[in-house]
Amino acid sequence: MTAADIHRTIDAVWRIESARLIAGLTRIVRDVGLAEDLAQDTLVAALEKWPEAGVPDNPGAWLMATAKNRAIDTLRKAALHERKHEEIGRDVESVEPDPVTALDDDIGDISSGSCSSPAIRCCRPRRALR
Amino acid sequence: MRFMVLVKANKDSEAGVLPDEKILTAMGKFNEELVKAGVMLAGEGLQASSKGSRVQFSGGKKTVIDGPFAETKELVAGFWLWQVKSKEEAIEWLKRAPFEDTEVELRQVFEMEDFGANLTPELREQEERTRAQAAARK
Repeated sequence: MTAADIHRTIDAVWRIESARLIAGLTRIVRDVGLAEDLAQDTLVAALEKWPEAGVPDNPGAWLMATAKNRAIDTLRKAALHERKHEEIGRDVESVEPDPVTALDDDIGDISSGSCSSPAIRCCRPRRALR
Repeated sequence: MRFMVLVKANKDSEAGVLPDEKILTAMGKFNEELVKAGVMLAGEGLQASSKGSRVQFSGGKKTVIDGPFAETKELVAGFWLWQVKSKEEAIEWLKRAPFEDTEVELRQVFEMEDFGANLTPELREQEERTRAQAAARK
């Protein structure tokens, strides 16, 4: 198949499969906009892989499998970000329960030369430089 | 563009063996998808060639020959007429058809533009009129 043939085939497959693909993804990610974005990413993946590897025997299944993997990745990353935000939020709270008091303490620390608060750590001159 | 999709015959179709419920169901679903996608223009199954005939035109003579005919693989057992954007789209649709051991041929249909200057404005008008009349009779 020439490059032009492959592109026409990908075009044809997209025309046949895109609606079902987006519907299936919407069921997984519960967000039509996100589903459309994932579908577009999958189309790009097909445009990159198929000219070299050839058009798969069941193109619809390839698209759905690829798109589902991206959807799962996206959801995992979103869950990971949320967890990390929660952790950071917790850490910040445990170190500085009261921002004003904490800041006063830190200012005191700087003047007295003992700096342990993570927020102020960057102000400490590095020992190696002395 | 339009394509005629010719389903070739095999021993069973020539023997008049009717498709079973499983195949009819699968084919029904496939036809429904074709209709939903706006691809399906027409589609029918053809009876065995034993019930058919041929008319040969040669040097002004017309000869009628009754079936059955020998070259099973070249006989047509069914057809579709599809409207698609490209030959690749016709091929992709055909790949989704629920056939097992069958050969299916795709042939692009001539449109009026393909005839170029041979199709004079008068001929073109007559063609359009005829098609409109046929459509009105349905």
